[in-house]
Amino acid sequence: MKGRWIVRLTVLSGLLVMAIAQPLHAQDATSVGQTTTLWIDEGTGQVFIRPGHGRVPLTIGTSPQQLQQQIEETTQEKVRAAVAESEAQQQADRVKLEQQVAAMQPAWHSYLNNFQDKFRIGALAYLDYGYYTHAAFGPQFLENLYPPGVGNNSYNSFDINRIYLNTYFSPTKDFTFRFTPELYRAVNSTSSSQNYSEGATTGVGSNLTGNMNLRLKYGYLQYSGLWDQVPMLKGGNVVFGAQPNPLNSWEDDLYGFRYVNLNPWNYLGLSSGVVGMQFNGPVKLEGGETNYVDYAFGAYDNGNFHAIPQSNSKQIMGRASIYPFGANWRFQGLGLTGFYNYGWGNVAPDSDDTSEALKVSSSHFSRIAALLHYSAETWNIAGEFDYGNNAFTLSNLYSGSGPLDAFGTATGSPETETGYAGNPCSPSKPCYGVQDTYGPQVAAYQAFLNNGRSRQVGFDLFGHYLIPYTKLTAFGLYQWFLPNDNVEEDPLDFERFVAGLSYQWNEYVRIAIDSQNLLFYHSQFGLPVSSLEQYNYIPGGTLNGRLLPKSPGFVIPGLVPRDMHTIFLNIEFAY
Amino acid sequence: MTIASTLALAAMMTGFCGCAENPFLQSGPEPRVANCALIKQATPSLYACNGKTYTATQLTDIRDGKTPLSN
Repeated sequence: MKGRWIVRLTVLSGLLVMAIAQPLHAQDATSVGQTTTLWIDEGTGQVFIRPGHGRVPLTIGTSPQQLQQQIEETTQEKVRAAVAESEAQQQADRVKLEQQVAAMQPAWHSYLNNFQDKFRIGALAYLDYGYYTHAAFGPQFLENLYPPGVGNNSYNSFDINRIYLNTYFSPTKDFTFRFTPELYRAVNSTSSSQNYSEGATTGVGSNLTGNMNLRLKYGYLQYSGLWDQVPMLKGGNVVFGAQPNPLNSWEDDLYGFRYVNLNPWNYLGLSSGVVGMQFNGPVKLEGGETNYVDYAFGAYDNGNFHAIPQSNSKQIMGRASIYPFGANWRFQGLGLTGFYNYGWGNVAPDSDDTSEALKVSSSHFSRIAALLHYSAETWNIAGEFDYGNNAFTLSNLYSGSGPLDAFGTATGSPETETGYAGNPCSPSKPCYGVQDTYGPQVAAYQAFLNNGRSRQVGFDLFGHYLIPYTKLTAFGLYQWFLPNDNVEEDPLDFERFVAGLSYQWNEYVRIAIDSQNLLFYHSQFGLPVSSLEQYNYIPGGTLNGRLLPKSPGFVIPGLVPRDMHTIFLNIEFAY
Repeated sequence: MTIASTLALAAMMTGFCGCAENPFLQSGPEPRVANCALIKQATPSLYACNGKTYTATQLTDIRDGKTPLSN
């Protein structure tokens, strides 16, 4: 019995194996998920292919649901692991990105940082109130001041005599571009021809005089690396464009009170701005920081910075300052300074050859200044000798204001009686008289100053002293000048003196109260035509449409101009 | 107006001022701009004080206490 059951079981198992033993295809999807259920009698252990009493199922293989569930569980585990890994990576990336963003310079931030290091802007303003106790004709005490002349005592005004906006661009350490516009007062003809017409019947009045306009004062490119390899000359630079001349700015800094008055040659007409090429720098003999020499020299157009250049030649200027005991800061201690300027009138070549008695427009000019100065931190003093040729003309004498006769308009009643002063006077050929007019005097001054052979000599003294423990500094300037020392007794010889007190409000603002005076110190006198003739005065010549005195013995009276006295309140803002 | 009369006027003003600090007298930390030599009017202006060179803004910072007194 037992053996039969074993045989039956064996056969049954074989059949079962054959039934389920099918070719297993690796990629066969139909076999995946199939299960076979047999039944086991738990008491006997026999396996049956059908359920029955006392039999429990025996499943072979995995059901699709179970397989699906296993797959899902496995997949979910893998997905969870992947997500966790991804999240960890993202967190790491986020931290890294935040660090990069924090370190990253926005374009505008980088631009501003660079801009801050490579750009400077500043402002300079000289403002004043001037009261003319004695108004007169003469050079202007400060820029943009055009006071009325003789007969206008007690004239007073608030003025702006300088406003600069200084901008400096330095993209690299050795290149700097400076751009400085300035304000200036326009002065224009009041002729009716300046008015504007519209159509056939409409007119509009125009008067540009008095407007404060904007113009370029300085515009130049500076290269500072010229002498970097030469220790003795290190710090030197070359400048190209509209720039300060070698003397005026240097002397203004030495004096320290440019906001009150002009330095000697500036007062006489040497413009502080020129257009050309200039070399500047120190000479440090021992290669250290102590300065023994500083220099500035160059070549420039003959006209000043606001004149159209016309000539085919150039002027040269040069200044050298020597500090025999060395200077640890600019101007310190004893210094000797020499300045030389040589040039020609700003005249086009085709008109340069025309013949004329008064040749100043085409003649050469020269200026020399020799200074001895001593500077300490709270005081300084300087003496200056000036010499020039054709460097002070009628237009310089009247740079502030002058009589109408000097500007194209005859004044006073004309003389029409024939024979007056040796002229054939008539209503159609009027002559200058000598009453209520400055015509003959202006002609005499033109002869003294514009003849192409004038020689200037001058002497100056200036300085300042800080009153101890106070914010008050006393300052002063004295200038003595001979406009043409070839004239035996020149009525135009003058003295100028300035005296005042300056208050240092803070590092940027100063206020001064001062007296400024122009004195033509000769006693009043006249000169005969014969004496004036040797200076190229033309007897019987024409000025403003009137004949000038002709007789050799005719005396032109009142040649010594009136003095000018003023009181100023000056304010400086410098940043 | 002479210098003497100006100084007298300044002295009178100090008497009438009644201010705790006389505006005409120096005060504050050294170096003070009034004691310095103006050596270059530029942007910024340069001053020489006690043998050293300062800009106007450096002197302002010293006066305002933003910078140590000695450099």
